[in-house]
Amino acid sequence: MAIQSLYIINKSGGLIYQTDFPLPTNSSTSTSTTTTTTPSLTRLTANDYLVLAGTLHGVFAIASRLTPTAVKLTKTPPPSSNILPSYNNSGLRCIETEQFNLYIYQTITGLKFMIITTPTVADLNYATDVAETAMKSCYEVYSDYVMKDPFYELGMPIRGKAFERRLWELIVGK
Amino acid sequence: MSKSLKTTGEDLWKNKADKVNSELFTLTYGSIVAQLVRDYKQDYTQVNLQLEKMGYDIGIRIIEEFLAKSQVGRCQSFKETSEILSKIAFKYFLNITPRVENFSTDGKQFSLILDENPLAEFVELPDDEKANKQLWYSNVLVGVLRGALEMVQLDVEVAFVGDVLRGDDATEIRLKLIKILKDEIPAGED
Repeated sequence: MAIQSLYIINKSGGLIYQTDFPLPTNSSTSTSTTTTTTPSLTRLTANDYLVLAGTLHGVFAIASRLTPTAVKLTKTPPPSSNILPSYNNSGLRCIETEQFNLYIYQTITGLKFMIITTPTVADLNYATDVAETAMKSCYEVYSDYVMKDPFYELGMPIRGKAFERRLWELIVGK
Repeated sequence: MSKSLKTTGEDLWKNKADKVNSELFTLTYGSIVAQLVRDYKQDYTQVNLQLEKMGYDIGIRIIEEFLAKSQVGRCQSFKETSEILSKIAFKYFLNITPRVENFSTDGKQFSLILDENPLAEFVELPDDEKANKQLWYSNVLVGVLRGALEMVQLDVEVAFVGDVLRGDDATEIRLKLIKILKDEIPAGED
């Protein structure tokens, strides 16, 4: 499971950040862990990304209304301490397909982090935990490098270079 | 939560919080207040207002760091909010644990008593009657609390009701829950 793409969506459904990550090349011949700089996904137009984010925001809200009470998750966070518990008892948390997996984590301020990963063979619950841990780390980077930029305006697209740099260090490695 | 809030707060303070020389912090805040007092020509009501505004802008941002690092979830009651503010939030950001007191019977109001206040370490208010009656020196905290709580959909009225700097018995911040902003709670969290 490798993270291919990250989206950050503000509480009103606007896309404030989107980036694609290169897939790690695991060729055993090269000892150095060089990664290709070309992202693994085809780029869409800027407008398409906005539409995608908006749609997802809507689908998330609809899904939260549709979740049958019986399958709603319990409020108690998992015993494993390192995983940030998700407070969404309903709504969209994960989409699994043959081409990719998609995970969403929503903070209690209404911010959504969404990542697209390569498909996984692992157990879905486990994969969701791993994805949520990754998104939690992105949230920490966001809280440090976006929230503390005095010239960043809340809810607007993120353009900070420092944020981008830290994010790449986190996801792609140095 | 298996661990007590107190240990959670202490762990966070030890392991997650970036620290800065406390004197630098205290002196910086002091010079901001002093400059505001000069800018507004000793109009202390205006100074209070400006400090509150600055605090609010800090609060709506600082909440994200708090949530990201503390892994605290949504509070089930205002009582829980008070405990988390005192034992985790104040501990994490200021290394103090204010006492939670005077909960009203309807559970919608409480006071935070600051036995120590890092903002006011070396401070003596100017020697005029007005300053002593009007200026809430640490009013930035009021704004921070209001801003941060608003971002987690709690509409709260926050105000200082006492400050040892003014000769009061205790430094006390009063919080009053006006309403929970139900419409703002993100979808999927019911």
